Amino acid sequence: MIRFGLRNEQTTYQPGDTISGAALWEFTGRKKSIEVRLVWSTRGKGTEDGATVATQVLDAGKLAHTETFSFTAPDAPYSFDGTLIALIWAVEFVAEPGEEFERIEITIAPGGREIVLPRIPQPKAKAGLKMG
Amino acid sequence: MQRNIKIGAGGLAAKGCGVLFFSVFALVGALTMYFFAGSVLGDFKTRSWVSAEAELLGQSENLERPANEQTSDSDRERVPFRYTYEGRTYIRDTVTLSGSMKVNGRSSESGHRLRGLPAGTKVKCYVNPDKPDEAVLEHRSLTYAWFLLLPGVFLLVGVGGAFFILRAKPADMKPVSARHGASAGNVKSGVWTLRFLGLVFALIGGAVTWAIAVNPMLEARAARSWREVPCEIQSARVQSQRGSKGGSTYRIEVVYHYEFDGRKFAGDRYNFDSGSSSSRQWREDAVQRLKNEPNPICYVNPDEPSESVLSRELGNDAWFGLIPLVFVIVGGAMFLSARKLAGKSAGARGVPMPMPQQRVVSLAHGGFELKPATSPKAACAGMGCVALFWNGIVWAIFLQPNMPTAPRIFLMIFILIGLGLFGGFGYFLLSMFNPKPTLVADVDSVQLGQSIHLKWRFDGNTTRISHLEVLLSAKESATYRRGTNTATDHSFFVHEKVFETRDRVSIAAGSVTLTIPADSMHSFEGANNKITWTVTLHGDIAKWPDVNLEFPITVLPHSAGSASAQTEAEPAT
Repeated sequence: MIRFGLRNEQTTYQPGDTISGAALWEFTGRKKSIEVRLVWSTRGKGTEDGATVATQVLDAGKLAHTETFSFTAPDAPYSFDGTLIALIWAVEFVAEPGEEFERIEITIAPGGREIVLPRIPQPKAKAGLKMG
Repeated sequence: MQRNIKIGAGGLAAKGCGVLFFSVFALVGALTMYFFAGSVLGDFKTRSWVSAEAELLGQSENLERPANEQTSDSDRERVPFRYTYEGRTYIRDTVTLSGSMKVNGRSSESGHRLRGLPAGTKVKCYVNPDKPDEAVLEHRSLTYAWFLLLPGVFLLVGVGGAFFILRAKPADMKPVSARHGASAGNVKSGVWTLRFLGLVFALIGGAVTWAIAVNPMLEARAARSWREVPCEIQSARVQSQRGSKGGSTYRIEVVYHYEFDGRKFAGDRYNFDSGSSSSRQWREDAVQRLKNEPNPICYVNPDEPSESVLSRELGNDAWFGLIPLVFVIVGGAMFLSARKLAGKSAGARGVPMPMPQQRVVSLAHGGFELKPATSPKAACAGMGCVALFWNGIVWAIFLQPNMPTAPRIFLMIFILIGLGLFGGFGYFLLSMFNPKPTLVADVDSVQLGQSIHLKWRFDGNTTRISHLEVLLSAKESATYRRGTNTATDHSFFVHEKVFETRDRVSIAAGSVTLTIPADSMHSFEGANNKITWTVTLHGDIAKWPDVNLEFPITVLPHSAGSASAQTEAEPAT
């Protein structure tokens, strides 16, 4: 059993903010590692990109335990939502080995507001041979 | 959260295609292996057959063959012989069970040697005690069993690929960190993949090295104890063969006769080299020596007198056989350092700041020269190569004599594409003679909400440019797999004309200050997804390719502390 949450259920942050929360777990078998990871990944038309930016190792020695964690929201990349690509930040609780993990999606951007890229009329290719 | 992005549900179809692809791989591998292994096993079994004396017959002898023998006469090596087993006489013509095949109409080594013997010569044959009508003249060397590795690789890749695809969970069923971070699981699977690939590399390299280098060396060494026997050279020459890529390869073709323990034998092996190569001279010299030698000798294996060789030395190019050792070394290194490599690769994916590389040159007198994304020279060279490659292939096929009309008409489509490519090459070639702009910025990168000052200067005949525009653009670029191809889609979210002029002086040299919108997205460069900011200089030239150069600029996120402040400000334009 995993219960995992962010302080005050906050999901929007500005770069430099503290992202903190707590995890409570109760496993029947021993785990090699229990970690909380701050990650970003892309969604959309392109093949997924992503990275684990920070990791906090929790005490895997205990089958049942509650532990807090905290990260500093990085300066970049910002959460954004475009026509082809979106970039999403998340905090993940991962216990290995096994299938258990939990993810909370968050926004990291100035003002805590995801950048929305506007749809504009697409420019036509200008290179050409004009005979005039 | 309502998003612009709609997430597609093509995962299942992609998975199905992947499994199908790898299954075909595995099936081809398994079938090839099955037939090949049957052949190897059959040849192996002949080693337990009973030996009997046989008498060689003339080539014109008519034979009745067992019904299960399906290989056609034109393909299979045939040397007719008669033998008696348990009081019954049989006639057969099988040299080896798996049927040494004629290559390019030429007999195999063993068939060639046996054919050199006159009718009536007594030789040894091997009879299947369970089916006495089945017999062979020779045990085929099992070194060719190494080639089982090739379909084996197909089978392994097919089964492994299908297994991993079926086992893989949908992307959103796994943590992002497991897909992109240096997690223990990621590193572990990377290690095993690298070890597997390394092992396959090393095994293939080892097998080929064994077959074409080590085995001939061992055979040459073993032949040191063979008996020296006088022989008679029937024919000797250097046979050349045109390779598929145009060059020729050469092999020594020799037939000689000798007697051993009162029995007559014929041989056709010069030395233990694996066959032909492009080296001609040493072969010519060897043939000349054989022809001029008044008392030629050969070396005969006393345990198997039908086995003989004229020279126990390896050819001058025998060291070529060691080239596949590179595969062994690379494969071995991959296998041994898999953990290190996988850790490094997983770590590299975890780069926290995915910013593009800056394309600027710092100038001594201040400022930074921006470099275009693609220079006219590079575009011209690239298009020229593509056009040459495409047209080379298409015209080579098109100009084939005896080609029927229908395919020739079909090829016209490709000819037209080729002409279009040459047109593109011509366009880029002309654009190389355009006035060349230099664009200098006051900073090497600019933050969101801040300004960048740009100065341009054209070298060349700027009077040809009738109209100049400076554009600020930003676009998303998403690269994805479509079948076996990689495609990239673009979508602009900023495209503004920041300056335009028809004034000749301002076209030749000028400057502009542009401000990056504060509420926009900074430059971003993942492996497949990008946000790119560019400044474009577009100059109209009548009756000539326009000047159209894109200069990427790096737009940084807000500096720490200013992020919150800017959100209160009005978005700049």
